[in-house]
Amino acid sequence: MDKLYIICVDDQREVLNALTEDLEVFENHVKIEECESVKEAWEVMEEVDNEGDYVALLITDQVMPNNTGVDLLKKLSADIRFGATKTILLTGQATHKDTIEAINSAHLNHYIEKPWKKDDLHATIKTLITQFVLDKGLEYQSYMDILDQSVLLNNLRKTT
Amino acid sequence: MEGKVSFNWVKQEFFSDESKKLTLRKGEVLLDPHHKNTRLFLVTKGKFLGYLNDAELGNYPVFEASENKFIGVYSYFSDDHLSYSKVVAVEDSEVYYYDKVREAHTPEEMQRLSQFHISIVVNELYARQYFAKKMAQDKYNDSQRLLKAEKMSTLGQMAAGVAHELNNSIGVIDGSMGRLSDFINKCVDSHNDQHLREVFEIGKKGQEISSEEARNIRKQYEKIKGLTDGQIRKLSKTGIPADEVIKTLQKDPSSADRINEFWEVGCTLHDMEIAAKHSTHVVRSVKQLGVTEHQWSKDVNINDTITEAMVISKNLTKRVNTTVFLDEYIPNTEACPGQLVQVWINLVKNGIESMLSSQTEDPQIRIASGHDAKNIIITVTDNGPGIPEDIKQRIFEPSFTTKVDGLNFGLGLGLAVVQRIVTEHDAVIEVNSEPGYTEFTVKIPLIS
Repeated sequence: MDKLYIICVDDQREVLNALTEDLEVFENHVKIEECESVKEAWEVMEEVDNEGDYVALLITDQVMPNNTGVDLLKKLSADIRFGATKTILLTGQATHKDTIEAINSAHLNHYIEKPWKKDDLHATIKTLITQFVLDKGLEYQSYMDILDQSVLLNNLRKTT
Repeated sequence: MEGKVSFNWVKQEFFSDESKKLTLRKGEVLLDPHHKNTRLFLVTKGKFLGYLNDAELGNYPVFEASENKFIGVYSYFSDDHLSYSKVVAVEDSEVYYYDKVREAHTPEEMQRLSQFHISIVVNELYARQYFAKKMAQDKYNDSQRLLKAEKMSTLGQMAAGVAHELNNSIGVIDGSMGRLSDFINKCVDSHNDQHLREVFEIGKKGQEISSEEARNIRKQYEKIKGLTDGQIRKLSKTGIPADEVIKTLQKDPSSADRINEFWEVGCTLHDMEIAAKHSTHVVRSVKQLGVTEHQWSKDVNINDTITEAMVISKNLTKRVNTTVFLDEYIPNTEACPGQLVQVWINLVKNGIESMLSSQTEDPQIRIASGHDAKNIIITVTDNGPGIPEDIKQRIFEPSFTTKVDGLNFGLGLGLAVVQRIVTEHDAVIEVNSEPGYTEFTVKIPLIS
């Protein structure tokens, strides 16, 4: 089974803890990485890629020291290794301009406002991971538990 | 006498007779409205203002005349020779006059003076128009300033309202936290397990391991069979030495989840407590910002105001390398804490925003307090691009800004407000700036 990763980036440890606690339901099928800065996230992602594994999803905060979440998203979208990686901007204070920039120049997939609702977050992650698995043509049966059935069905209908 | 009709010639021929010189003290009236005037005055020293009287506006200025400017132009040239404005010396002044009725000049001289009339009139027209424009501009600026002040005070009141509402909720959360914490402590005790008790206590200190360190520690757990990814990820960030945990796991392989759970409960309590404290602090500070009638106190610890400001601006300060140095020995002084908090926020915010917008490498901001025998001295230093020479003079003007967009919470009201507050404290603010180094220094006098 291919290893999938969810990378979480937030400079506030308490927020990072709360986020990863909410992601535990996915942990039997994907690996979760916690990062406290954009730089660290990038290093981890490169390592995942070097190991031949997949960065399926990046969840990042916007306002952080040194580099912002949008910086990271832009860097990611410009890198062919992470062409299929899905992205969520999870933030309480991205300005209108930041958000537009994230969508237009970094192909942001989803925007979630802090404080997040666990159910919404789960649903969004399921959809995005399903799309990632399909985009990459991975063996989806092994991830069945965490995939979004309707996305999956729609896709199967299209292809058959 | 042939030659060009110049101002100097006119001045010398017609406005240099010592017997026709008037000296006026500041405040003395040169001309009164509706009085007959056949004199043309030339100011040689000082300054005059001409006023019109209006039932609604009272006396309002319509022209000013300083050295080498003429006064009485209207009455002098008009048919009825009636002055229409009141002309008052605003400084100790001197004028020479030429009286068209009483003076005897040769026809040639008169002829030549009349050549100069048009120039006097045109100049007068220009001066009045310029004055009118200047007055209008000042009025416009005033109204803009008022508008801004009003907006800010509305914002402050709104902020205070929101803060008040939040304060109640946070009070509940904070109080409940305490009770919940007591209860959980009892639950942990009831397990009668010294080891888990310790794990819980470690958790209550919060996560002390960085995500990067946790990733390194993880390698030790990955060697152990039977642990899931999730268990490993969590054990790695507890901060409990890995060899200790591994020993426990060898005795009881099922204890991984319990260790994680007890640590997590402790850590959650810690995080919630921190969050509640932070919220309480922010709310209190925002409330203070909204107070329009600021409370003065004789016994203010300036360091407290700095700490408060840093809490409110945490969102900004975390984007740069921030240092706070507080001189513990500064004496308390008379001040308005709420206002001072605003000053620090503004200075810090300005520094950080200028560094972020110019993408300064390794941006740093430092706020420090200190004192000497007479003053408390606070400095705010950044390593941003500095303030360009040409705008240094203007930064304390209201409505001056270099900001185009960006994160702006409206808490800071600009350097003009800083200046006002500083002045109200009998303090001074200085700026020292070059590329890569900008320092604002505020000196607050100690009350003797």
